[in-house]
Amino acid sequence: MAEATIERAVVTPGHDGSAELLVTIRYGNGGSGHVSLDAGAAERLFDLCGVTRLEDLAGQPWQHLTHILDTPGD
Amino acid sequence: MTLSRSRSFTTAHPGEDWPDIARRALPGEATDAALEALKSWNLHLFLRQPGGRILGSDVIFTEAPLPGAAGDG
Amino acid sequence: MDLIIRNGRLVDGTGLPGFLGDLGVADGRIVHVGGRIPGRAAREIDAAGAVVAPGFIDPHTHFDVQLLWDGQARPALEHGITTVVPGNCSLSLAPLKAEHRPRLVGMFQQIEEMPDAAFDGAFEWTWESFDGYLDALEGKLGVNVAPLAGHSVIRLWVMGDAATERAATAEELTAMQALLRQCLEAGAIGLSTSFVDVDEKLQPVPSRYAHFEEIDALASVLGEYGRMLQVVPEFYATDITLARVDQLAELSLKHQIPTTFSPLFDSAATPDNVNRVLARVSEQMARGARVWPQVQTRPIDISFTFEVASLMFAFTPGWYVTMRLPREEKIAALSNPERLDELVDAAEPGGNIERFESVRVRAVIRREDEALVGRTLGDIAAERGSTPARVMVAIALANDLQASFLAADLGHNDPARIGPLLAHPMVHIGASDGGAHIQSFATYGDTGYLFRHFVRDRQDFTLEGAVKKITADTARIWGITDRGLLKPGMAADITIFDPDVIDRAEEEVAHDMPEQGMRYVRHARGIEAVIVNGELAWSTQGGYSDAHSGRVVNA
Repeated sequence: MAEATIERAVVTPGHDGSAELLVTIRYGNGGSGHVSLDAGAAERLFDLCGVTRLEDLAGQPWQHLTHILDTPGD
Repeated sequence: MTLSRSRSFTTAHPGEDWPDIARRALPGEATDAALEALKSWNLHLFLRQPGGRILGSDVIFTEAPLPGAAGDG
Repeated sequence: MDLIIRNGRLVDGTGLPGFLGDLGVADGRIVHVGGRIPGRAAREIDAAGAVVAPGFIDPHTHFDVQLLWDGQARPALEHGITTVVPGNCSLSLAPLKAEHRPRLVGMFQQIEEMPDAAFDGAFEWTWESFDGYLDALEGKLGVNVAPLAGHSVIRLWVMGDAATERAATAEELTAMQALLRQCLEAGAIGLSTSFVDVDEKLQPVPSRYAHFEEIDALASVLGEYGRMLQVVPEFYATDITLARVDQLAELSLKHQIPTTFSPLFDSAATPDNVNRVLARVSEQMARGARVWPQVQTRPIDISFTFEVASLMFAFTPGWYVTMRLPREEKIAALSNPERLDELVDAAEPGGNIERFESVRVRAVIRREDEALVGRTLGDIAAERGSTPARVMVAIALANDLQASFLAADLGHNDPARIGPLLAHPMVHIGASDGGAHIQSFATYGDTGYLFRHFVRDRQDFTLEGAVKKITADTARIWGITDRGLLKPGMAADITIFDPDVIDRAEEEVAHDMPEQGMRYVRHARGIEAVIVNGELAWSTQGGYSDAHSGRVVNA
């Protein structure tokens, strides 16, 4: 599954009234899935990917998502 | 009435860990590759503390999102 | 006759066209519908020009605690809600051993945002069992209550600390089944469980540790009574929701029970979510399963402050980077005129002020800024000869970054999609979360929103169709046999409203929780009177009455 990558990330409203980051992952078979990140997790994803703009998350490897919990927050 | 094909999933049996599920759901796959695949298909379980812990009620996907499912996995 | 409502347009909940006529009530029951009723009653209401409808039923609330000091579930009642279903999402106040109260309080505070005072002195814990909780409500209720028993508390009762550690043993499963049976015998309308909720330490609630075999065992008890299973699925991911639909269908078919999941949201970010879920629901319904998705009528708003790096600022990179700075550096950057010019240019390129124009000031800490609360940044900017982005920064700095802003209608917000979704025959209107999230947003007035936007403005529903969806359909889905219709013999739960006016009012801050605790509320517009079991519970003229005619109702 090494070929799975982040396809895009968009800001969406969460159920609790806060903004969340919806990340789309495109898999090698052509299918795609989503994960939803809160503000803190999104910050860590930006840092892990070394980017500051939403559009620059596209193309990043999916493994970054699994390292979010290993990364201390601000 | 026949149901349309949907993405395969399982739930953990009491006491099962990821290697157990990999052996059960992906027999014949090398363990490391199977674990990596399960991880990528179940990111929702690796984005909560502690990452990768399996709860009894969790949906665990045993394949990637189906192609053509309109990008809403 | 105790009550006659005269000259109203009787919209009886069947979905058939309304008609002019009188309605008579005696002993808490409807005894006459249509035609002119001769003679006089002890109380008469002239409903000329108004709609007379069955009382609305809200199937997803968290009023469990509030009902102990406010049996009218304010302000839900004044919106025409005559029956509420508390105990959703695996959490109810019973059955609960005294030793487990602190744990449940933590869970409730996480989802309801109820202040400590609500649990400390606002009521007396007199119960452990489910019937004990219902006894505690006795004589207090102004609305009807159809309570769910929560899976998490049932698990906690039987397993103690192990409820958040492991699978249940066979003996524990049997004990949980027996406990659920007691709850159903006492009057629970069903069982709720959750695959999503967390406690105050952000740890999964006990129900999430249950294996499918446990839910199956509990559903088998529901099957003995034909009662409801409510679940909270992972609504943010379509494939997981689809898996939950299949699980619920399996349980529904096996045990012949109704099931419902809430919420189901529409979002521009996942435009196929709803269609895929409804397609699966339709397939399962065609097999004879009962799997009802609950959809809320209102859109989702986002609140944010400058204290944390809200993702609201991620749309404009310069802002997001600035908001992630340490507090003092952030204040310095926002106070720097040149840096501020750059940020404003990024947010309002070419003078386009669209991004923050409609954002409202939600809360401030400076008394002199209180008049700004509720106003849009566009309005304030016009008054000050500034721009929305600039005034937002100015207000944030003046209030030590603690000013709160509200961007309304950002999700579940496309009327052209939501209207047909709500009208879908397999959609159950609900998911209001009434009584929850009280310090984040108001969860009241969804029925008014339905009539205003989807009946009057867009005509996705006829008036009669909308009434049916939130009365007779809800009663049928939940197996409540004596409510939801204007029909002789039915309980006299009645809402009288002006169809040209009914709506929800603007969100406002109230300090009506115990110890003057704060919450957001919305009052009603266009509701003229609300009758619960034949007694006038609320009216435009008199407000809330002293009647405590609400009851515990079940299937």
